[in-house]
Amino acid sequence: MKLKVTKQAILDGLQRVQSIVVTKSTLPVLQNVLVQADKKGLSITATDLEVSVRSFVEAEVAAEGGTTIPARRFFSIVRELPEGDIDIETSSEDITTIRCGASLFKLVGISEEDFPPIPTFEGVRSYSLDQGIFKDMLVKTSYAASSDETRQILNGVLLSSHGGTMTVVATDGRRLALVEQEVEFPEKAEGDLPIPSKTVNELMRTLGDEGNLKINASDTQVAFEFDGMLIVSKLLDGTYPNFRQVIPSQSEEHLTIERELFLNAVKRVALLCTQEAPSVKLNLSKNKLEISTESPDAGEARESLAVKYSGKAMAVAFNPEFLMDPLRVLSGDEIILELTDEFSPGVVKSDVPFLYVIMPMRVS
Amino acid sequence: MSGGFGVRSCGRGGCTGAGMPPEKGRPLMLEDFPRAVLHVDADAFFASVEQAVNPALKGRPVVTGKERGIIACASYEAKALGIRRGVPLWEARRRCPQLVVLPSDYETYSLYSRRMFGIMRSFTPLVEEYSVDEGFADITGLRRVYRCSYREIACRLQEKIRAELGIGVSVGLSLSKSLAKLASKYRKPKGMTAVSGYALHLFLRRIELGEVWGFGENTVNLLRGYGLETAWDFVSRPRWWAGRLLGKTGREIWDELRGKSVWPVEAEARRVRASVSKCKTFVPPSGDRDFVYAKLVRNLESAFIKLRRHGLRAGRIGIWLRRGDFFQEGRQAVLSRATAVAGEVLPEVRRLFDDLFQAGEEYRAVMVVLEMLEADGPRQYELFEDRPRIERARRVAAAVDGINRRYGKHTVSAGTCLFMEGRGGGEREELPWRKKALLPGESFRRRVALPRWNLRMDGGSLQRAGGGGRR
Repeated sequence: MKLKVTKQAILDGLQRVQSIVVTKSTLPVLQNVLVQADKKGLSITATDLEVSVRSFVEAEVAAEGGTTIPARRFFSIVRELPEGDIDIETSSEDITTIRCGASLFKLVGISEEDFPPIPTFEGVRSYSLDQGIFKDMLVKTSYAASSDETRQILNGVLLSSHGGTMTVVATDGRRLALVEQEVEFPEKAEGDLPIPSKTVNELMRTLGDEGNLKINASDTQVAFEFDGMLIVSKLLDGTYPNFRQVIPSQSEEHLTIERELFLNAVKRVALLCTQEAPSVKLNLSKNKLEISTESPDAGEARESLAVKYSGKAMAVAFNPEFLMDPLRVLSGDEIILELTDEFSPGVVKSDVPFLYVIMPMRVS
Repeated sequence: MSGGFGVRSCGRGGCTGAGMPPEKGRPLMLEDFPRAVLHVDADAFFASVEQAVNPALKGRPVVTGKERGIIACASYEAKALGIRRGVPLWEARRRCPQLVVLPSDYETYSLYSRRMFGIMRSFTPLVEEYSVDEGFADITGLRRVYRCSYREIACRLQEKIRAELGIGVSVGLSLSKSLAKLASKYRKPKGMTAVSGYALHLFLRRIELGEVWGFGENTVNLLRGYGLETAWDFVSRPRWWAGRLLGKTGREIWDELRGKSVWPVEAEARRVRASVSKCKTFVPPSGDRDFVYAKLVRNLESAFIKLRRHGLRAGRIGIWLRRGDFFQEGRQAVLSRATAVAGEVLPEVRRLFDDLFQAGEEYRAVMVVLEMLEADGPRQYELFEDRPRIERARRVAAAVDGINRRYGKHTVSAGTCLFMEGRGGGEREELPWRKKALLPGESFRRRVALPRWNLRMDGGSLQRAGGGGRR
């Protein structure tokens, strides 16, 4: 393999795969990136066996071929090199020579045959949508995913495509975030794709704000292709719980609140929450919403907001983090909060097709 | 032995009296009691209580633990005949045919225990209930109140317990909890040992390392390796040396032994609980699946009752089965959410039990351990849980607690427990006297919370109370 590439191009390519590289592994080749050159250019691949990320870089290829190079070393060398062209050449013993100006590096690599191949599959289900829209859907939901490893199926977001609507859902069993979007896809592409959080984070990091995104899925794998990037990921094992059944069909009381005022008020009151069981109480009375918390150790905090409310008086307690999460990712000026009583789920809505269900806390 | 009722500092061999010049070495301290801590330790507590409620047993070798087949506590008369705690009953009876073997009557023991601590509290509010039969009291500064020395206060306390409860206690008076504990053990039974700061260096020379509170077999062997034999040898080494070898605990024990109290008497002895466990031995061992499971469920219910009483909920549950040959095995499960209701974990317990129980094996004990305890306070509801069912289970548990509070523990319990009826038997199933001689209005589950004397002098009842269950 022999090629010439600009520093910026290869640095960008490396940056986009870097976070996947495994730092400690029983399989040493996972600490390397796979570098392959062909007529189209240069591709850089990293994998942790769950997720594989490949980025394509423009390069003048003099001789095709491939090798693997220790990722961290390769990345830091490229980062420190001066701007300009870099010559890369690999010997048959997988020793890669990097030349740039007066600098010369020789890196000992591992043969490309040892690198786990990226699963290739002809996706049965395949459709396209806008990158920006998809990224926004992930941002609005992914924070609600669980990190509890005992419930693996919840460790990610669900892409559910049915009847012309694509639904992205994440839940940790205590709150649930959902976004819907009309997407055109062929009927045979319908189905559910539970995507691991790691892949979701990769997507949110690398997806652009516009441009096309192609999704290709089999029963166990999913591939995302966009802007010279390919991300292939395993799907989560198991059946996603029936999230539709926990969405309250109707709530008794509705109120509209200014999003930022509400967010800041909760943030302030939550400063006095204790670590073990953080909860803030929402006290609703006529045209008034009082947010409060008290603990025998820390003290108490309360703050009132003027709201338009004429329903019944009630008090419901929530985990403040769960309450603030959707307020942070939404952009509209107002949100709608729907409540029924202190045991029933609360719902946060917005002017966009967004829905957030949050379970209250029992405070004795 | 009432010889201990002295005001001497150190009795064995008469090493020092108050104000007597030390035999040898320099004292560790030139104060008598910068802090005065009492350790009160009941002598052969269970057996003493049995003798107290049934005076006919006084002076006779009495042991308790009939229901377990192993001696739980032996009176001093029995100890004099070489009978110790942990000896199997058949062995004890062989050695001593006149032995009085009684089933344990924990109700009476706990009533006596409460009274003992009550008497201690009448002296000072700073009383720590260390276990059912021993406790600490901090009497610093009480000399002025009682117009007498700390030694005299300790003697008065001991005499008051003897006079009011009729049981003997050994009392140790010293500068820290560790020292007081060593002192109370120094002369038993009914001993009273006061170790002041002046006499510390003499007292510690007579204490072997193994007696020190906090030194187990391993630590003792480790210290022996450095040529140490007595507590004095230990405190003669520098403090940093103790710390380097044994860490923080080592430094603390070093301080405590040198008369610097670092472990305060904790009057609010509501220590944070790490676990709640219930273990019940049943004899004869049983290989009946239903019976063993019923025993397990009963333990589970008892454990959860205790859990609710302390306002806690558990996040992990463990069960243990002990076979007839004392081999034991257990299983644990982490719950998806902490609970204070036994009914909620029953299906999981059933699964663990089925995994553990082996047909053809005989089991002699079951144990339940509840761990990962947290305050049963605020609780985050879950989206995918069956909340009405959980709330119902909570309400049922609260109602059952209410009924049982009124009519006695386990009046209402899981139906599974019916499998306990009519099994077992044998002399070990014999009930304590208190549960057989019910007062009018008392039930098997609910009795007057007062200790009762067993004073019926007719041969029959005496025979029953003390004669090893022969009818």
